[in-house]
Formats: sequence, structure tokens, C-alpha cells
Amino acid sequence: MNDNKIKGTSIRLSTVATSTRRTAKTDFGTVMRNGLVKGANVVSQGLQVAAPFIPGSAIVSAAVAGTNLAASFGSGGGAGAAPASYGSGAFGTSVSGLSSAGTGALGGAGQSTGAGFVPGAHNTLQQGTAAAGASPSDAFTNMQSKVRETAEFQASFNLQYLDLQQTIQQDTRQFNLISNIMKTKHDAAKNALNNVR
Amino acid sequence: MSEELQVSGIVDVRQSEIALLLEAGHLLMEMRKFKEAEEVFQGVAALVPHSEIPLVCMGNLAFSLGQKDRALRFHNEALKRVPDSALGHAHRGEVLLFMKKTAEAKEALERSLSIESDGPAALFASSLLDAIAAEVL
Repeated sequence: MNDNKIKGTSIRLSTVATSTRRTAKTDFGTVMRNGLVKGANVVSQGLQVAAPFIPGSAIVSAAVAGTNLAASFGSGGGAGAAPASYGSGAFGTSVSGLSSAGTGALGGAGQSTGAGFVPGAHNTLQQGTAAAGASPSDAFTNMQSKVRETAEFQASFNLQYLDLQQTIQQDTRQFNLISNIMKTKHDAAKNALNNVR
Repeated sequence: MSEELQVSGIVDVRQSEIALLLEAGHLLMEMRKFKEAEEVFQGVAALVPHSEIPLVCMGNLAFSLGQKDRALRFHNEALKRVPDSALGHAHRGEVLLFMKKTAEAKEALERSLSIESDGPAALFASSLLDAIAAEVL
């Protein structure tokens, strides 16, 4: 005999009028977004404070001051859309600018290395999120060390990039020289064949 | 109508025919038929014994086979026929350069440039000198 059926139950319909939600939204996307925005704002404030202590402070201040972090994350994107903004949004750009200004790198290097910098920016944001509950001085110290780390990373990256550029230039020069030798040799032979006296 | 140039060797041959034979030799060389190419060049060298060009071609053939000593002998032979051949000196310089005799190579290439300052052989010598200066070769 099957006892799985609930005996004596009947179907009831409950009709309650729809009302606006009163509890705070706690789904993953919203929490993630709010956390990121908070963290990024802390980072931004930290950068503004740290700007006078690092080279190229004017550029840093200019890059940070106009940044609207909440807007760059998007209003309804949720957690899935947020990481995409790191590389292409205003935040990623301003931090890249900061690094290249800090290390005195060649012009344009910051722009070229923007994609490579994304993980660093992400880590900084995570730190900022974690530091959101900490005291301002801790956040400032943390921010300073992060800025220094970023500058060092960018400096080493720029050196490697410069090395690569020099190697490519050297190879191109060699290729051109050898190509020119082959061309002139061919021309000389062709000319000689047609001018046998 | 202008008459076609004749090259006076053991027999008179039209210049276009000599050019055709030498070009055929180069084509055979490109086709990796080195023996046949050498036979053609030897034939032309016998046909026009006063010209250094077939011997330079034979030197080139030996050089492309990696036989640098043999190539140098052919170029020296070519320069015996025509001591002031810019082409001969340029090719001799090339072989010497690949034999790591840079000083002698430079001397031969500069000699080629001094004989003919702006012809194709001089351009070839000049490009080799550029490569030496850039330490590419």
C-alpha cells in the first residue's frame, strides 16, 4: 500500500495583494556590486590621498578626481558584469595612468599594457573591499603599499617590453640587410648576363 | 634597325644567345640541377674565353653548394681574365666574408666600389659592406 499520499488534504488558494519589497535586496549580484563599489571608492579616496607622495601626482589626481566608480560598474549589471568593467572602465585606465606616471615609463606604454594590468586592478579592488571595514589609516597604508607594488610591477613590465622591442628592431634590421644583399646580388647577376661582351 | 651585338669568342655568337645560355644555367641552378648548370657555364666559359662572367657564375654555383674554396678559385680565375671586374671583386669579397676573412673581404669589396661606383656590382658590394658594418655577417 502506498502511504506517500497525504490523507485528508485539499487544495487551498491563498490570495494576497502584491506589495513592494520591504527587506533589503540580498541576492549575490547586488551584494557583490555594492561591495565592489564600496571597495573601489575606498581605493579612489586612497589614491587621492596618496597622490602627493608619488611621482606624477598631478596626473594621478586628475585621473582619480573625475572617476565615477559607481557609474563604471553599471547600475543593473550585477556581479557577472562587474569584472568586465575593470579592464575597460574608467578605473582600469586611471590606475594604468598612475603606474606609468610613477615609473617614468615611455609614452604609450601604460595604454599598451592595460590588458595585462587587469589582474592587479582586480586584486587592488579586492583589498579595497576587505579594507572597507578597517580604519582609514590602515586603508591608507595598504593603499600605499599596493601603489608601490603596482609601480614596481609596471616598471619591470616596461623593461621587459623595451627589451622585446629592441630584439625585434635588431631582427628587422638584420632581415633588411640580408634582403638587400640578396636583391643587389640578383640585380648584379641579371645585369652581367645581359652585358657579356 | 640596329644590328644585334656579336660576342667574339672562339666563334662569333650573338650576345642574346650568350645571355640565354647563362640564364638557362641559372635556371638549372634554381632547379637544383647543379651538374647540368655547371656544364652550361663551362660551355659558355669555353665559348667566350675573354669574359669573366661565366667563371663568376661558376663561382656562384660553387658558393651556393657551400664549396667556398672552390668558389674563391673560380672568382680568382675570373679576375685573372679581367682584373678590373667590379663584379668579380664583389663576388670574391662575398666568398671571403663567408670564409670569415673579413679584412680581405672588405678590401675586395672596396676595390669593387672603386672600380664601379654606382653600378649593380657596386650596389652589391655596398650592401655587403653595410652588413659588415652592422656586424650581421
